[in-house]
Amino acid sequence: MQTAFVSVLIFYLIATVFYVLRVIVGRPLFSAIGFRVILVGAVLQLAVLATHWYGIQAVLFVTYLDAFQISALLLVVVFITLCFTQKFYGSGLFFVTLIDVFCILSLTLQNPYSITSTLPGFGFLYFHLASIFLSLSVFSLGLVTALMYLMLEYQLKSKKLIGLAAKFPSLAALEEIHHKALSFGFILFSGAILTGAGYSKIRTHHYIDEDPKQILSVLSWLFFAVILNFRVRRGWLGHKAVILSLMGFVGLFFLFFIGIK
Amino acid sequence: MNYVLAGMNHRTAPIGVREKFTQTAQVDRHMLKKALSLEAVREATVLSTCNRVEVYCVCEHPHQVTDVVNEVFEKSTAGDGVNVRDFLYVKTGDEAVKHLFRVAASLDALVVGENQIVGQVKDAFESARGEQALGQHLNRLFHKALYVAKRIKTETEIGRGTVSVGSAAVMLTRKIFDTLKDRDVLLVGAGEMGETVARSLSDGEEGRVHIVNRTADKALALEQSGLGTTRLWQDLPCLMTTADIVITALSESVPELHQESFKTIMHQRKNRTLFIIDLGVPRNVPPSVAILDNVYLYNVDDLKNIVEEGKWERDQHRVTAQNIIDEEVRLFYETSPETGAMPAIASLAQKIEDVRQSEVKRTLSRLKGLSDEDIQAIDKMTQAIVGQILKDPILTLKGKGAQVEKGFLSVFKQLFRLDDEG
Repeated sequence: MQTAFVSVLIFYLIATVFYVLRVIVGRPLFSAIGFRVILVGAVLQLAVLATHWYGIQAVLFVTYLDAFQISALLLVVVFITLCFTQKFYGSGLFFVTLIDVFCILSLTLQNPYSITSTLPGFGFLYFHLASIFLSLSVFSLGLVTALMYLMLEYQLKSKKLIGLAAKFPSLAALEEIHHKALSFGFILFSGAILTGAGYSKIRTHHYIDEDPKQILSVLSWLFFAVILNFRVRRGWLGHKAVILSLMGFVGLFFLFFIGIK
Repeated sequence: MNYVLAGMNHRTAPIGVREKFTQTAQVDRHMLKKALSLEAVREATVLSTCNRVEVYCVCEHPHQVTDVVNEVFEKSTAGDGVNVRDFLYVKTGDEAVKHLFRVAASLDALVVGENQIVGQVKDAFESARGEQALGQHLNRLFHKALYVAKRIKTETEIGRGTVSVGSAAVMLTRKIFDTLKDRDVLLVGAGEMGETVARSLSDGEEGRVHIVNRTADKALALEQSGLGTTRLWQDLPCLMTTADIVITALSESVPELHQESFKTIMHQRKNRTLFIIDLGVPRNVPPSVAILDNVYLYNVDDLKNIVEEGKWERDQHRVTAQNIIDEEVRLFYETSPETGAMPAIASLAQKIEDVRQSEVKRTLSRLKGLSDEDIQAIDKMTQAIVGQILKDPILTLKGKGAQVEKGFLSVFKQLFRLDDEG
């Protein structure tokens, strides 16, 4: 099964090569080919995941392999949808790079211990893990759109629309998707914190203890809550909101990888 | 067989003449039938758009072009003694092929790169097919033209770029706000350039443009021309908090457009994005306003620079597109069933068949008392011998396909004296 997931990764790496060529050579033909390779990769990944799930006859999300593979697939689906609905041209390289990272992590990270449904508080733990990985995927979309927004904004401000950024969707479209990713990711992250607290209560009899990971998680949640709230109340739109959320995303990914370690 | 094209377009004929050939499906069908009624014409298609009317035919000989022009463009006078034929262009062979490829790829359009033309070429093709006016030649030509159009669209960005200050403003608005729909435009000043840009941005929607000018007369004149609604100069600060796009075109700077005013305005707008187009000379809005968050300030030079960059880019794409067309025209002829080895094969087969028939006839005349079955047996036997002899040379030639070398073909023809035929 590992080999099948490796072949999925190879497809995405080939797509990455085409998107890199698109940036270097500047011909749209390369991104068109890259997109088709991604489509094939997505179908293959779905088939491999379904076979994997059928083979293990157990719930998904409890190993790094399937959790990261699902996160990658979710990101692929979002990317394909955006390409068809929002003409998300020029963004392929950003998405495919993140997809590659997720696939590589799924194949390289070793699970420190196995999780079975007989564990006390398994329900909380399962939804905690699922929410974390899904929010990781959604926040990644926010990260990509934030970077694209800043690149396009810089070019519009400096009055030089050139290269890849000139092909991006509009600032308004990027901001809207970024905001949706932030809001939806925040809901999932809230779910992750609540179910994590529930699991902690069962295991340690405390909802929260002095674990820096837990404290940092709550602080990150508060940070995103402030950004979302001030967006409505104080008009933290555009540049300011994007910069702040970008800081939040970076902090969150750092936290996530501390969690893994 | 020769491709023949006769037609007129926006370059060769004024609108008054083109109007005479304003096409409807019925008129197209009529023209098509007239072309097909000519003995010389084997296949035909009529391509008509608001900027062109062209008839593509396949004729046996190029000199039959005149018949096509006479018959199809029967309205030979456009009034005032002007002859329609003065506005016609006629192209044959690879020139006609190249022209269709250019048309389908939108290189020959009024607005280079516009997408509508591909659909119109498809419609012309489908319509001719419906009338059973297509044979293998035009079928192949139109399929190839649509393929070339697709290839150029994929490999170049011919349709992109801006051609005027107005379209540069539209392009920037789309890059900032995604769409022109529901965007409020505030025009400060009633100059000609401001009007042009505001008209481009209003996208024909009513009630979208507010006009403010210190002298009401000019603003009212613009309102009467249907551009937008006139508002009082005193309303300017209030209008600036609601507008998405502000176009300033005043002959001098005013306090309402100073940086401090914009800071207040952005605060009141809750930082909603503001696109300012400063067309005034001297500039009406201080450049320092551009550093404010969510404010995008462009002056007339910035817009002109975008137009110039777009022009350069379009020229580059046009060169690439033309190279693709040249390459595809060459391939079109190289892979044609009528070029390469196919005609030589057909000539050889015909020559051998003639020899066979004459020899069979001569032999049979000498042999008396043969039954019909015997005659048929002899005929079949000679056919089989000829078939066996021809099999290898034909397979060799077919195997070489379009890549058959001219020297090789020449030797082949000399060997069988094929050039002496017909």
